Amino acid sequence: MDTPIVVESPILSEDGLRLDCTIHYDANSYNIYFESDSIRLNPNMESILSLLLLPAMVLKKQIETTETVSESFHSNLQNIQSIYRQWFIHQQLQEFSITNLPIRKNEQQKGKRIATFFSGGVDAFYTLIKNNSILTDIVFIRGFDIHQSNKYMLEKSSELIAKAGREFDKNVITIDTNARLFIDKFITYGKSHGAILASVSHLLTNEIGMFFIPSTDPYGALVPYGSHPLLDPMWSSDRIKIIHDGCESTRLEKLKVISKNEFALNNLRVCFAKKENQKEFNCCTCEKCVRTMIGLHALGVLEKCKSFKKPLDLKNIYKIDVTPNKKAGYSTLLYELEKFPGNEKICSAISKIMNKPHFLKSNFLLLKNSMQKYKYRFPKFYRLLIKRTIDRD
Amino acid sequence: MNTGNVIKVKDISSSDSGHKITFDVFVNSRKFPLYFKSNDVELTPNPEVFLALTLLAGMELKYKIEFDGEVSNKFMRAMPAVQSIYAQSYIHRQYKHVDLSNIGSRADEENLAQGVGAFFSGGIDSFYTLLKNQEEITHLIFINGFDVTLGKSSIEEKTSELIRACGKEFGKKVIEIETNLRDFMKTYVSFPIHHGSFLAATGHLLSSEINKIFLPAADSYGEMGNVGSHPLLDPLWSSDKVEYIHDGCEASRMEKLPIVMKSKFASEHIRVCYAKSDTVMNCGKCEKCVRTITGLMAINALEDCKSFNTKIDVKDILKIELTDSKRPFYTEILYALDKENKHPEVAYAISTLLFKPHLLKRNTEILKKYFRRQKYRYPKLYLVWKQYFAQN
Repeated sequence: MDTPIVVESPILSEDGLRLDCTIHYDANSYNIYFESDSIRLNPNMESILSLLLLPAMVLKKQIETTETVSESFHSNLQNIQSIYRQWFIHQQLQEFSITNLPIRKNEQQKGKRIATFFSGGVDAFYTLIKNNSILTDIVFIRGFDIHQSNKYMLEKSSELIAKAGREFDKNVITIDTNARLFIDKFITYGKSHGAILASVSHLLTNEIGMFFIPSTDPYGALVPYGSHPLLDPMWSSDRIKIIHDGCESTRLEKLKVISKNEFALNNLRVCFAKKENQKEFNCCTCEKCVRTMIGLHALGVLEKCKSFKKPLDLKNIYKIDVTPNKKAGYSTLLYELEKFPGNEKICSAISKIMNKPHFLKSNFLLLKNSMQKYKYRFPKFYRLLIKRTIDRD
Repeated sequence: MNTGNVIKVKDISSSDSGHKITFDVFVNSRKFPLYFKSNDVELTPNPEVFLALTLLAGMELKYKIEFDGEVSNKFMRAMPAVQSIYAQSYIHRQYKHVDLSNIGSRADEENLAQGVGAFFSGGIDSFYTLLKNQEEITHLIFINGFDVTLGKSSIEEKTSELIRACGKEFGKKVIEIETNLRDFMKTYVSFPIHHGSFLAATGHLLSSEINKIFLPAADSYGEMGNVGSHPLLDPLWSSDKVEYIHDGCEASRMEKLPIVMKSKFASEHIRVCYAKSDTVMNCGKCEKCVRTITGLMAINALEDCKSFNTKIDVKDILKIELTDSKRPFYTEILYALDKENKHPEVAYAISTLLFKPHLLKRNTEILKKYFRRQKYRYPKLYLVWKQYFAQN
């Protein structure tokens, strides 16, 4: 570790709706901003540290700041780093020392409201419906899963969220940020998205005392991921409690709950594809769309669901690449589908794609680690592999 | 769920001034007379004990559970999540959620007890948790009948002496609890699945003296597989009186070893052995011993460790049947040996072991899962398997 990452004190605009923070590392400077449409933001180091933790581990640098962090947040930082370091071992993340971070003690929770992150997806709607009686706010982050350059989709999504707010009688908070653009320089979204959500949640502690993060995976299919029931609560501080919600239900069980709510059923937004000029929320061909459509089909509600404009095509199932991380999820889906008669062709397609080998095309470091066992057993083969493949790392 | 099928806990009684608790568990007409006994502390028959020890059997058999008493609201609120974790993690066992609406719950109360305990068996994980939380821990809790089978008096005595020596060395009170609970639990659910709930049930007996208990983690964050004891699950067994902390996931076994070895006492008193020999604490040949010995070799600490024979036979490494859950341990040891560039014969043996295919002799559940997937791809093969090999 050489020069540390230096964090300047966050600057809040006069109206309290915009927060800017400049980060310096090596010869680079980056300004991260968060802009709220309605709620005053609370400038604090927990928000910035949540965002900087992974880049610091990737760059193997310390973080230097004079701002204090909440005591309970500080006590979890080492564990958060251990989790990332062990889960993504092939990235060789390095933990940084937290002993020099000044601590803020005896802080009370101020916010009384309870919020959930809301994107319009299956998990988001499930958490909203399940906790409807206690939730007061839904929070949408522009620039999180939709790129800021995609103005059309951003506006359409904002309209959807506003509609959902009216339907369920919740306050809608929209946060605009370039946090994802910053963190994408260092690590993929799949590992960092939980940290971004945590970062935003810490900014809203003037009003919000509890935040739900809708779960992606059920207990039986948990994999190392940026948002996880072990990890998310660790981002909590003395001022805000973060809850990872929804692991008790599989995707199919969540769809069953959603299918009983007409608004949710007709306003789902799940698509990963984000094709250029895509006008509909859901492309109906990507893995996420197809997986959701399979569930809705099994429940017998796909045809009346207005969220997906095209029918379920078996060919799209066969195109899915079931990565090791997704295997448990598909295994659970297959198991559940068997309880619904008339899905034999879909089950057959799923079992075929699960048996397809997944090739580690792009992760040479992962390949390198797995090669270690050849070193003693087949030393010539190992040397050949090192020469041909690993040097491309 | 058949309303006639029920697991009942009856005739709960306390004797020997509260040092022994006996009760009967009835699974339909089958009776399991069970007990907990401790000469060190008064045991409190909290209702959480009985729900924790019967829940998995109820899920396996799809039976209701009945017992007298009310569990705390905090404990009851966590039960749906506990059941979801088990049901989803062991989906091939088809666990069903038990309807607990017949079990009463009471308002949460404060526990005035000040003690902080740690389950302690003398293994690497136990010593790591003890050394790490030394200032906070006041009690070491050892369960006779948990991993040491009751009735093997010589090994029971040796283990008891070892634990009491640890307590004396570190200035902690030792609570030794004897129980035959395993007779009931293993009848319906295997040890890897039930051991967490076993510990939780036992821990709830100690609320008169303890308000927090550390459960040493067997797996690090990067190795999580078995959910029997898991950082997500263990805290959910907490009640208003006893809080459970799953401790030690931040360090892998290879990271725990150097920390444990820094303590001279620990290095001379580690007890890891599965073989449970009558003559020595660690046989040096079973998988657990081999794993620990090779790990110590990788960190150049084997000679300082008096708990093991310093010589290892490479043949003992090759004899190990390596399951998927143990692979990460041996991969880590191999990297460490490689880094030190020592003991190439051991490194070679471990790499051979990692290459050996795992013969699914005992693990029919994994086979079942695999064949179930082939139901649509190879329907004839599936039918053959179902007819001739599938059980239940």
